[in-house]
Amino acid sequence: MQKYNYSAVHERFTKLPEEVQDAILSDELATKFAETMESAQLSKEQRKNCNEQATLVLVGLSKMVEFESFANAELGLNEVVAHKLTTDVKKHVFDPVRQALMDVMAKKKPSAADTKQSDPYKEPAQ
Amino acid sequence: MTYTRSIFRTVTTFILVVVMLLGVAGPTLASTSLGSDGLGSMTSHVSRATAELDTLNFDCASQGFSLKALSCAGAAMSYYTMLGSSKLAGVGGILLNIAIQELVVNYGLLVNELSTTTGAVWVTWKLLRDLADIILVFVLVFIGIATIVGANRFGYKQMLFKVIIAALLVNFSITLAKFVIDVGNSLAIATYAELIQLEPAAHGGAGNDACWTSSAIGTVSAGDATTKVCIERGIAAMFMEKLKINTLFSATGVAGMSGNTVDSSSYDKVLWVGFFGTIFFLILGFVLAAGGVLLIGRAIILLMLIIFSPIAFLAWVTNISRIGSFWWNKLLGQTFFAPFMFLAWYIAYRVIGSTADLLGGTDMNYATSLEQIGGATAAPDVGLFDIFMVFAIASGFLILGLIVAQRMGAAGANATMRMGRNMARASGGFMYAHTAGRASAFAAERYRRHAAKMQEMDGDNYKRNSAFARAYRGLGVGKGGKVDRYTQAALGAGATHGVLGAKSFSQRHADDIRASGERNAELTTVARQNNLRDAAQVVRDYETLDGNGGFTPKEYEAAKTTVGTASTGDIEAVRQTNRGLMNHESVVNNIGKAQATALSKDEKLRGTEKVAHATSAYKNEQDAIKRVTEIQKALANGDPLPDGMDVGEVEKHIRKMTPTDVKNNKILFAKNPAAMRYVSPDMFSSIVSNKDDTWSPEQIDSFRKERYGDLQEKLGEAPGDEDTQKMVHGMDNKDLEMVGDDTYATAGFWENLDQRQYNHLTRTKRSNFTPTQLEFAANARKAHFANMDPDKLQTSLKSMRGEELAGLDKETLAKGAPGLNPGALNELSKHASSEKMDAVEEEIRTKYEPVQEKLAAHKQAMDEYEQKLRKAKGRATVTGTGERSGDDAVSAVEKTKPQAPQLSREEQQIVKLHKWFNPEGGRPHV
Repeated sequence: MQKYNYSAVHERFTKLPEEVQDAILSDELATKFAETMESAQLSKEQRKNCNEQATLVLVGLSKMVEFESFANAELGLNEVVAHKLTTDVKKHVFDPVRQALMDVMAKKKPSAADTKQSDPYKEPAQ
Repeated sequence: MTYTRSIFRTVTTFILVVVMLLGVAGPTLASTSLGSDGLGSMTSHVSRATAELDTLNFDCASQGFSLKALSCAGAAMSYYTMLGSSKLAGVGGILLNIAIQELVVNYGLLVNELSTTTGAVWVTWKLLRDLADIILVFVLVFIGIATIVGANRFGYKQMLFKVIIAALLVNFSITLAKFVIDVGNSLAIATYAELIQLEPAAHGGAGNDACWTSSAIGTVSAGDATTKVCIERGIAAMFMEKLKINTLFSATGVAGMSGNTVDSSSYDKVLWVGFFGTIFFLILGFVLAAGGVLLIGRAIILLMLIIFSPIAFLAWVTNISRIGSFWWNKLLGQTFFAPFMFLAWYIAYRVIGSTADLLGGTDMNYATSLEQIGGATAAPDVGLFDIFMVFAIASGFLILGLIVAQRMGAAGANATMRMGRNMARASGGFMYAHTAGRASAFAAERYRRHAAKMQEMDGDNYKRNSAFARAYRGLGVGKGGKVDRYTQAALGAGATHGVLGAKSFSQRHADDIRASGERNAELTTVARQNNLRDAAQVVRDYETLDGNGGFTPKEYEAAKTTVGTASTGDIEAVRQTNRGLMNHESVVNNIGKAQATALSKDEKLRGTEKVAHATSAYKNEQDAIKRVTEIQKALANGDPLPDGMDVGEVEKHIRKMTPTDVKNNKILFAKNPAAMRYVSPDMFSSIVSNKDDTWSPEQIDSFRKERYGDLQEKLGEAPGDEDTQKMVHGMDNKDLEMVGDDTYATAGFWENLDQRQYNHLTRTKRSNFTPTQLEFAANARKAHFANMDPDKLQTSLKSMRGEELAGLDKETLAKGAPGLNPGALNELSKHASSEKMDAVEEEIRTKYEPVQEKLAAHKQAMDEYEQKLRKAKGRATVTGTGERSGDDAVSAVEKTKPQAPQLSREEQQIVKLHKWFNPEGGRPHV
């Protein structure tokens, strides 16, 4: 499991699209994430570790599927709580950022019309 | 022609009138004592004095079948024709006398009889009155509808008052009409009485004198002797006797006649006497009958006017038809026709009498005069032409009397109506003058006194300084203000509305307003021009006399402002009477630029005056432009400024120049490009854009060089001196964009920019710069911030973008970190390296430590407090009796609850920033 390294995280973060950066730094995400950790009754140390692991996922240095095993193994939560925490974090933290990324990708992806070569000699279809 | 038509109209209506007379006045006439012998009586009066020719004997048969017999037949025919025409004249006289007696003197009696509840006049008047009342009801409904639909012309404000007045007048119309007629008849009777008395009783007119007495007025009883005499003799007989027309039958006047037998020698004489006598009698009869017919027509018309009076009053008051005015004209015209006719005939009688006495005297005899035509040889006592003259004058005066009476009646009607209107208006004006007008005059006087008090000055200050007085002046109510003028006008107009007669209220009001406005304008203009003249004298004296003419600088400045803002019209007006003063150099130089420019082109001015104004128009500006070069030289050499030179004054004059001003002085600017340093940024931008090719490219370059050329030298690599820094700080966006690449390559320029200026150049006008220039600027700024005071730095960082922040080195960032906010940290984290973020976080942590101690202490105190509170609450129990104990101890603990730590704004900001970096929170630690 990837260990948190601020420099590496920050380096990846600065390379993210600005929209994704904004989504990660949004107040709404921070609030929801804090509420999720609060509902899971994590301790101060557990919250620090949970935040760092989620940050790794957000900047792409870790995978989302590893978060549940992290919650189970590293945070010492039972399976039920770990699963609920993972589900909530996915819903309130990962999914909004993922959606922001998808939006950026959708904007950047050229459409079929853009890529289609026009034939100046072809007569238009009647 | 008009008189002929009038006479013809009279004759043609005669028959109609007689027919109507029989219907309308017939019963009255029948009740008089005229009887069947009335006509005979009148004709007997005509020939009464000379009965000898009443029956002449023409023994024509004795002449056989000869020329004499033919002559005899002609004479007889002529005689009998004259006899018949004399009867007609008698009929005319009778008609006139009846008309006078029954339709003027006793007309009131006739009307009263017809106005009883069953009388024809009353019944028909009542019918029309009811009709008028119904119409008024409909008019009221119409007004209501008009008011609802907003038709202001027919709304209740305009019409309701009229309808009420009309309702009153309609129901009193018969009384009002009869009153007017009575007034006219009274005048007529009085005049008639004067006329009838002129016939002396000595002429055998026994009883005629009594026609004017009270017994003859209002008496129409059958067989009344006085009335009978008045009809049988009356005015007609008076005129006949005055003319001595009966002498036509004087046998003694015809030469060669003896007794009633006409001998053969008198045939021709009788023929001519009869011929002209016929003409005389016909004319006389016609004139008398015409007078009678007119009076009969008058009586009938007046009756009709009485009957139609309700409709007439309705139309007149509501103004819905011109019938009202027509009715009034007819009523007054016909009513006053009678007195005027009697007056005219009174004059005619006097004139006829005098003429007859003068030309004929007591010897006047128509027969003896007319027989001259027939070949009489004996000289008559009175000449033939004298007879004709007397008769012509008499007939003419009688006819003229009728015409004049008609005209005067109509004119009198119009005059009376005009007089009525004026009297109504005058009475209204009189009432207004002594009520509202007086009140308005009083109010106007009080207002003037009050206004004067509000304007009283004590030196430079107002004497009255209450809130009300200040408001009075501040609201533009003050002297000459719009509100003041309107108040004066309104009160003045109200005060003068009481003037009798003349114009309507609205006209007078409009006149007053106009007069007031004109007067105010006149007063204002005169006051303004007097003020200008005084100010010009102050300016001249201050600038030319020793000791400034005794004027203070404040007074001088005020006078200069007055002269400088005076209009060309006022300047010209004052110049007319004070040419020397207004052409004085000191005055001309202080006239406003726009006015001076206009005056320099005024063809009415003299050549030298125009030149003086042209020179003075831009005097201050041109002086300033010229001085710039001297000032720059002095500054460059470090020399003191020449006497009288003030950089601020020069800059003020140049900076306020308009594009037109600059264009009008373009040669001077071209010669003194250094003046471009002082034009406003907008103006400089306009100049260098050179849209209308006023300047050459070389001139533009020189201007730019002059304006910003030495900026690079002044700045260099250093921040520059204080003045230079101030100049850079004072640059607006257009200045910044125009300083040129040389200046952009100066580090001192970038260092001196405040953040707004820097942002403008590197954000808004980013495309104006090359990457190299931007890098240079960033480095310059980096160095600038590195040396900046921490407080100033923190303020500057607040307006910087993340990218710009990331461009600063980590030490600078750390130093200014407390000035950032979470948003700026977000931005910074997107661009800054982890080292820089670490440095910022470290700085925040360091700043947070003392705050954390405060918070930790508070937390510890809160923990202890809560522990104590729990214990106290745990000890508090319910006793066996159900009472609680230990509550006091809980309250005591609660009172010891620690207060939340008081954090400064900076500490609160540090807490927020620390939270941003806190990995225990929800924000991903990126």
